[in-house]
Amino acid sequence: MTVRSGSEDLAGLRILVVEDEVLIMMLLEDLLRELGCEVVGPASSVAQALALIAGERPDAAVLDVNLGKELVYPVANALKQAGVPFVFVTGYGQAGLIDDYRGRAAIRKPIDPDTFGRELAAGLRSPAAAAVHAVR
Amino acid sequence: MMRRGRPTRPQGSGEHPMLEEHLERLGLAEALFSQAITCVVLLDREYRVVRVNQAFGTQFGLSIEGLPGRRFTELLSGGVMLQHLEEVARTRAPLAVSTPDCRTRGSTGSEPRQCNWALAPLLDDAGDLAFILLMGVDVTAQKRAEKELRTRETVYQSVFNCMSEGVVFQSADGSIVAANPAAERLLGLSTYGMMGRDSNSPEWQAVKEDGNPFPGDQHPAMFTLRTGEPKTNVVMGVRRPDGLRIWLSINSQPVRNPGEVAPHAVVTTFHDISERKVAEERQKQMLHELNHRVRNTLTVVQSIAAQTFRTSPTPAAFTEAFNARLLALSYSHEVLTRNDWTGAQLRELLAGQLRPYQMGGGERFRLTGPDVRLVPKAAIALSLVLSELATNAAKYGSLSVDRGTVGVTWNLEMGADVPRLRIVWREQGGPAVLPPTRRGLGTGLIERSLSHELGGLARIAFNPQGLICEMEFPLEGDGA
Repeated sequence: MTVRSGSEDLAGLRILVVEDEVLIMMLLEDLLRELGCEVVGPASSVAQALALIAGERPDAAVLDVNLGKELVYPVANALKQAGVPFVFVTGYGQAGLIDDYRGRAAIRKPIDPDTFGRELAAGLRSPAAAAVHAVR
Repeated sequence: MMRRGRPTRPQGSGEHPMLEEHLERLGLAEALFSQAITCVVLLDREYRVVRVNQAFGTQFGLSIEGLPGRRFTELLSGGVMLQHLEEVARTRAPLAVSTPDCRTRGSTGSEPRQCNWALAPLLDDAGDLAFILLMGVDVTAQKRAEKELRTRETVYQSVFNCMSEGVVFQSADGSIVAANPAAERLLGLSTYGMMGRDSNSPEWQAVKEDGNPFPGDQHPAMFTLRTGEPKTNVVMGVRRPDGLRIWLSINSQPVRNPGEVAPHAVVTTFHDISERKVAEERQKQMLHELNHRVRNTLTVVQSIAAQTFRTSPTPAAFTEAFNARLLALSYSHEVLTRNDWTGAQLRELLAGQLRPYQMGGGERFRLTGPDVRLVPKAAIALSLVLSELATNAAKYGSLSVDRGTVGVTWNLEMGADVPRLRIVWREQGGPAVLPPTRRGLGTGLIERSLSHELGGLARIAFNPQGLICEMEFPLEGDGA
């Protein structure tokens, strides 16, 4: 799997992954590692993710919206509070996000590996992603 | 019966005697008498006919020539009775009488007529009764029409009252003038409460299907009043005074007077389609949810392909492993769909995942444990894990030889709050087991599925006598 250009600036970032399904989590891990990122976590629940954020502040985060029993928004809120940029990964697309996060970058499932890096970099860089200075 | 006016004086009462004389000369009285379509009869004080007009003869089927001199009460039955004539004679006051079944005496089969009579005493100069003037109008047809109208009115009124569709009647300016009980019930308003409103009233909070405001002038009733055209099946959401939002399907029809083009009113009928709207909304949500589930599943397949590809030495190995995983995933979906996605029995999942390896007649599998129901997420995760174990056993373990067996035992350990499910996969009778030189996808997937997805753990022991995999995780209830 090759990840194309537009995402070189992601290399070296420590990225928190929140995803409850093992296989999708493994896919995200692979994609992020190919971009040169270090995976933090992964977390499969809100509680796990919040514990990870409290322990070591990641540079950025990739969040699955629907974690089975719960939604990921408390994690998004905590990241926003901490000024950590993040993108959502969801089958619903942007339209499925709650009003607070409408317009946020959302990478659609299934994931196109060719554009994943670019979408991620753009999502983390976008003004809505807040505290963008965390990303070089 | 009612009295009206003062006694009529035929002579000497006029303030214009010249005019009266003039008219008399011109034959006005005679003309009125003979040409009137009203029955006119002049009686003397013995109630004998003095003069009678043709209208009376025609009305009652009598030849008028033979009538003068006959007592009036002998001519008709059910008409003006002796008592009425005597009352006029006594009081010298005019009298109005309605007689419902007036017939010609002696004629058989004649239809009873309903007549309205006016009796007027004519007094002489001394004030004594000289004549009684009778004027009669046959109102049978009119009364019959009125009765028919009343009957029709009753029929329409009962339909109006009983129908489940709401009906609202609006005048040309759009104001509501009438509404039936169904309209009151559906709209949560009394007719009186509605009468203060028209289609433009903001209280309706009328919205279109897309949720945008429904302008009052586009309301079907207003459209029909403006254009004279009917409207059908217009969907509108309105807010009832109790706060409930209901959805209506509305029809409007113009009401015109014969020969007129512009409607002078509009009748609007409507019924409640809220339930249908709710069902449509639910279906939309379900499709949305289905779309999400499909996309998620496709991403899982995407990952299976990528992971399998990375760990497959040859295209043939990839195809084999990929198919096995895809089928495991598909089987778990099949079982869950059978159960309306409420969950799956562990035993059913196990049997399904092992079935492809049940060759020959021998007993290769021993499944021992209580009934355990798994939530969908756990069922899918465990299906993939069991598929990995079975595939591995078929390739390297006990299922790779004829006499090999797999025993799966499970039990529930009741913990502090949630029970933990403990499953032991034990292979026997296979070739001597060697620890793998490099970790394939299978081992990682099993361990990570248990820890990450199920919140438990898996221990895989490569015993020389056969692989043993111990798994345990908290059993999530779904309330079932």
